[in-house]
Amino acid sequence: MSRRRLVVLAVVGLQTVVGCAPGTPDGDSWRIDAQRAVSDASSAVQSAELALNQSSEDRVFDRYLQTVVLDSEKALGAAGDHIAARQPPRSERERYDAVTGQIDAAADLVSAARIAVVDGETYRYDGLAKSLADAAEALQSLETDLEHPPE
Amino acid sequence: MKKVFAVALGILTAIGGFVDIGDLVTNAQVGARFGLSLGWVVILGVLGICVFAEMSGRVAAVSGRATFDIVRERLGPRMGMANLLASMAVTLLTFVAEIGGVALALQLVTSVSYVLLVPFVAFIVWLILWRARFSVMENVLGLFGLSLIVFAVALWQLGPDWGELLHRMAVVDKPGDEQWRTWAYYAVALFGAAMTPYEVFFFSSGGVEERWTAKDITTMRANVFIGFPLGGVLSLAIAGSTAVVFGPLDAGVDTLGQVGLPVAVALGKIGLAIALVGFVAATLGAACETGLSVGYSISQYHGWQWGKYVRPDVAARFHLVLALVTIVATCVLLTTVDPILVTEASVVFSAVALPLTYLPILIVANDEDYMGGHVNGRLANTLGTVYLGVIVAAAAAAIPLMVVTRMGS
Amino acid sequence: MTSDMTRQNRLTGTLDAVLHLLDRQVVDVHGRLVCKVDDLELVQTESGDLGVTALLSGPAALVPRLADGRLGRRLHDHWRRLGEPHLDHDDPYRIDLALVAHLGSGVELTVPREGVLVRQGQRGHRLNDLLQMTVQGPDGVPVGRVLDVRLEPRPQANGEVLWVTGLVIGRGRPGSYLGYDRRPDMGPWLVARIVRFLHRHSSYVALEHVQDLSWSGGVMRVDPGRMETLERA
Repeated sequence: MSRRRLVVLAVVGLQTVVGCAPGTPDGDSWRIDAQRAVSDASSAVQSAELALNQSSEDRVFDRYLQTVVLDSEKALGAAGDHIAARQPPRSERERYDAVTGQIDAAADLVSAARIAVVDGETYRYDGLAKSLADAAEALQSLETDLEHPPE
Repeated sequence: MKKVFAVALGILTAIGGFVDIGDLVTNAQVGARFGLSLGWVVILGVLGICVFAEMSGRVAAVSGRATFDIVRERLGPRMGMANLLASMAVTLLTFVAEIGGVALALQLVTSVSYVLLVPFVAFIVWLILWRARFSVMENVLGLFGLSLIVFAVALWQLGPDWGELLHRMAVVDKPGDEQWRTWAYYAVALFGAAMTPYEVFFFSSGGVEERWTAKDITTMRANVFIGFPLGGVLSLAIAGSTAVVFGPLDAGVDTLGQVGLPVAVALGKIGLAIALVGFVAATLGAACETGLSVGYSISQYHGWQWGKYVRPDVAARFHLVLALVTIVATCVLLTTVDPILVTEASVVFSAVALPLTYLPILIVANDEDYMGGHVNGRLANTLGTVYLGVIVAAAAAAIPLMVVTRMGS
Repeated sequence: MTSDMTRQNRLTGTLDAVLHLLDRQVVDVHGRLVCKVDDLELVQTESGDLGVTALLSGPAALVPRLADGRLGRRLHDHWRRLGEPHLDHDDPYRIDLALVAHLGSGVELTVPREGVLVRQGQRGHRLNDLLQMTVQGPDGVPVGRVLDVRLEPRPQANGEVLWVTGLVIGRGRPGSYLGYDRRPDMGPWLVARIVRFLHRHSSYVALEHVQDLSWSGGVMRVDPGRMETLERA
């Protein structure tokens, strides 16, 4: 084999070896994925909450608010679908239920917010923002809990 | 007033390099997750692009040769083709993303779904590339893109603890819950974004479009040393304002709508309106820059007549390439792929294109056949060589980091 | 539009084919861009002299240059098969050297670009054929490749010709000297040092000391005793 081809193969091989993510045991891999999903969900909920609060103080245009809430709804849907489709290991069944349950609840809230925004029901914004704040807090404590392996 | 417009090319190039749709979201994401601990990477990138943009601008002014012409001439057709394919991958993907970005910005204004806006935006972009005068394009889009300065105003208004902010930047203080390898991935991605090849393709070709001669070297330098630092300032302002607003929430940023929220918090509707103007202008400017860069690179490799400084029928193949590329971009976006994800993927290809672009520039800027008495001085050569080393290191690290961190998640 | 700082015309003195002519931009008399120099036409006289007579352009000239050796030949075969029905498909576009006015950073012509690229039938060989050849020592051991070709103008009655005076032989690919063979103190310092180190075995051979130049076999023989160190330009 020509020397040049050997060098190319060696470089590609080295890059592949270096680039391969270290293997994680099954339980950990689900936990990391769940953490990511919960974190994404929390970000989405908080963005929607922030936008609603700004709108209440008349600092944000309606159409802008609508787009932000829609983006949050989409993000929550994606996070929920992604983690719900992953098979949890036996030790994580309980937390799986908690994760999917909370993300679904948050998604419902954001959908309700989106409906209110599109229909222009500004009187509901404060109440919705408060519920979203609670949902975000719950998600964040779940995220902290997910930092540890299951009991 | 004319003096202000004289630096429009540099500003527009910088906009495409520092606040295009990918950077708008990445800078905001970086600010939210890492505070300003990656700030020095932006500064490093600004200095690097200044060094090489000045060189390529000087070559274009003195010899009338734009960058990709030089890449093929010095490296040969084989390496030139490798560079062409790699930089096309970056530039074309970015072009697709920018058209999507304009549509996303318009969605924030109209709340019409961005996918429906894509064909309209693509048509406008093509019209500008085909018909609009180069100077009009750069002046209008460059100056309106500067509206993004509102982020600096918003950051000021938010009244952060400046001492702490700057301290964290200087000390590279990364938030505890983030890993160093993720930090490294974003460092390489930000550096690559600051120095993407299409910036020098556009800047040097733009210099030829503006008919620069050796007498315009001072103007060219003003473009570089005003435009790119301004771009860097905009970058840092966006990162800073999201750091202040989203950092404490421990929330991530990955949509354009989230990027604008800090301005709304600080300045209300007026600030948000200015930011929206800035979003539309910056993404539209970046779309024109990347679209033209695709045309420039392909034409300069093959030796075809290119440019908006001649009538479209004289540069027929160039304009045909632009039209085809716009159609391809529209089709890609109509598949509802996320435009921002598209830019993040293109970082990989930068790894190959960066060294193959900057080495020929560095060599030719020293060649008396091209430059006459305007060859590089010792400062330009020293900085150029040092940065070439940094670029090669970043290029080598890009792909492994991307795999290990799963694209920065 | 081209503001050439150096109005010195390279065609009036010695020049290197790969460094100064190949892959350069061709510009017409009005400053409009025409094409790239994709290859050069080489003509061999009965006395064994080699001369560059024309610029070649177009895919027929470029495709063989995109890869070396066997891969290059396979690529060229594919190209030919793509245009089988076309008689002149493998015929590159040709610009006679007599139409060239000035060589600076680009090649400037004396005529406008309308209709200047003409397929005139293949004559002689191409510079790429020379660059693909293996250079062997007297015992058949490969010594290197042709990195560049030194040319010299000697105006004569029938058209312009640039005569080959010698070859730069070394390891690596043609053009990989990046210009540092002609100007060793061209900056930047580190890049120059690295390139010159990579080419430390390169040398110059005058054309008369090249033996057994076989176009079909793709080999030439060189007497190592006749190899000189490279001179500065």
